[in-house]
Amino acid sequence: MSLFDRGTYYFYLLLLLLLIIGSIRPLLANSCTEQDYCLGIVVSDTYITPWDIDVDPSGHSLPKGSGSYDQGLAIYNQQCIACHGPQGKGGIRMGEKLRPLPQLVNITPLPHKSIGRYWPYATTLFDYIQRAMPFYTPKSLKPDQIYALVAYLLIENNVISKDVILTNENLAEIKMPNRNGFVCDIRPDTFNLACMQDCLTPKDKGFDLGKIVMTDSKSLQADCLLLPE
Amino acid sequence: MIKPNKKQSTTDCSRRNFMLKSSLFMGSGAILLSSLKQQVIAAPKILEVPIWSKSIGNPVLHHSYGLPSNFEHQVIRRKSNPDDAPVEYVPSLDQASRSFTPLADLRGVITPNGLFFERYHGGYPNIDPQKHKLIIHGLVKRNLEITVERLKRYPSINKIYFLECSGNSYSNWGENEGSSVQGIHGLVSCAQWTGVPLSLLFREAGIDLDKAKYVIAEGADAPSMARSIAITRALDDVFVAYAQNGEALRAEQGYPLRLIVPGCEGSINIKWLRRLEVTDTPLFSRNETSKYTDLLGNDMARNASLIMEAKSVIIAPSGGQILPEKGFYEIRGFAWSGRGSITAVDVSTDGGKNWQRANISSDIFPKAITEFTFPWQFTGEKAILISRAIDETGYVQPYTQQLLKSRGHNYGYHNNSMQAWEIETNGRVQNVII
Ligand code: HEC
Repeated sequence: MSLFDRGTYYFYLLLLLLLIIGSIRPLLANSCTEQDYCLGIVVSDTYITPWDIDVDPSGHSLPKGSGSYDQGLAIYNQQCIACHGPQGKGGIRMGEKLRPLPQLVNITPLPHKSIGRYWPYATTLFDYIQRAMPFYTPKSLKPDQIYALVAYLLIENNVISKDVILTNENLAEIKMPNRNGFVCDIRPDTFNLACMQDCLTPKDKGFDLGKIVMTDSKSLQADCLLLPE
Repeated sequence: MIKPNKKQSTTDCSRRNFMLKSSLFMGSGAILLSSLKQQVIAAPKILEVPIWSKSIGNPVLHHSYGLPSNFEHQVIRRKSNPDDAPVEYVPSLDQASRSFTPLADLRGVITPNGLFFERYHGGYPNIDPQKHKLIIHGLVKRNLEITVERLKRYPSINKIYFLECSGNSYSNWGENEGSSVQGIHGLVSCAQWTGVPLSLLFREAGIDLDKAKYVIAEGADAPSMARSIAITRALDDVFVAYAQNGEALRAEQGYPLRLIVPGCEGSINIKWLRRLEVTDTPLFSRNETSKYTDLLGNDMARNASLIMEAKSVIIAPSGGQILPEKGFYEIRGFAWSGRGSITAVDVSTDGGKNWQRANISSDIFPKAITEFTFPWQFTGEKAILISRAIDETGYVQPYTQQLLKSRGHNYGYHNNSMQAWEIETNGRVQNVII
């Protein structure tokens, strides 16, 4: 068969066309026919990676890595203890009358919004340390160091046992004690009428102070943070 | 040119008559006497011609960026003073702290940019706009990178909106600890913002409306403050702002780009905005779980309690001030609601027993500060001044004790209860909690 018979000719032509279309496809996605103003530059997922640091409860975007209690303890005592105190027990303040820096474990009487008692997802701890801590040098920790710190803090908070090696595989599976402690916002939760004359005030007997209004977390309240079913 | 003396005195007289009438209208002989007395206070023998009328003034560009009169040097943002703030109220590190707007000195609905309250979680960055970009990605057809210069070329909107930290008025939560309106309520300000609607930008990126449930907004500051916003709200009235009261955003307010989420707590109006990720799941970031959630009295906590409910506060007279003399004062204050427009403000001068409608003394914009005034005579008797805001949904601003009952003492954020100021017989104004 000759290289240039009709069928082969069409075959190569088709191949060439496909190649051309394939190579301009990314440009087509950028095409101004799909954007009204076309002022944004189309960029790839890889390009965004250094900024794409959020870790949601699915754990899908966790970077590869692992860390243990002992490793976490060492990093904590180097990089965190000055502000959050030994074992995360807090109490460190930069002036006598100032508010102490956050405790990372629960030691004061209830209720306390500490990690072990209040935070609904362990991924939040990874996400937060990755983006925001240590305070003066945020985004300086490597994934393994963050896994180690999360392990250390969760163990100090009695959420997981001391021998757990935390990894991108098991972090999202941790069930935090207060996972079901959140409901949607159902305000308004007071229902006053605008009394104009001879009105009662909370100082008077017979003034109705109201009560806690609750709904379940499946509420349709539009702003509510709910995981996909 | 020169008005005859006669005419001028007639005008004076008629004004005096008016004052008498309005004093009488207020229904007290004592008021009448005191206002009469004021008219005869001895004037200096003869007017002095001051030095500024006898010497030449400063040239143009004395300040190439204008400053307030140096006589206004007291009108500044302030931190709480640890010596008279509630115990442990003042944060240890100034980069994770706040400063308060001097509300008592403001006029009208716009907060001057230099007096806008501050709140940071890791200091405010100094961002080079040439190097800053906004990234839009996630559940979109095209990831977009938009430069600041290009963003300003999209069709733009101008909107007046208040911003209030959800921790505003925290020191009034149950305990009577703050003293001035600045220190208690100064984490609210209002500005005209210029920017581009998120709905427009998402259309450009080709948002997948079937899957999109939230957008995660993230800042370029040190802690990269991040929050999740329900897509319904994001597509409603949320926008990316680059200007504030006619000039570029102040660095403290997010220069070069910030999010404006009208009517919602300050912390979700992400400053130094660098990234918007459209997702089907919320992030549950630290600042929407550990912080900015509302722990109720029954150990459950509300999440995404974004709306700043209707609130008002009398700024003059207000805590810490001393009324210099008896006589007429215009009670003045601010009202705002995250649910829309203020429809009325009522004022009580007897601690909440009787109320009267206040004058609305500014334009009314939805989700913006509205100013109100109310004429009042200080007779030297004790009085308790309270204002009460009502918004377009019919919601009436509550008492603090009601919020404490319906939310419990652990709550703290979103204190939109009424502020009462007690005027003592010597004219001193004190914070009281009802
Ligand atoms: C210079 C002091 C400082 C250092 C060092 C520091 N932090 Fe922090 N940390 C803070 C401050 C201040 C906050 C609160 C920030 C805010 O207000 O948003 C905080 C908040 C936190 C929180 C959230 C607490 C909560 O209840 O919401 C965690 C978790 C945390 N830090 C972990 C760490 C870890 C891990 C390290 C070490 C790698 C570290 N921090 C080092 C000052 C510090």
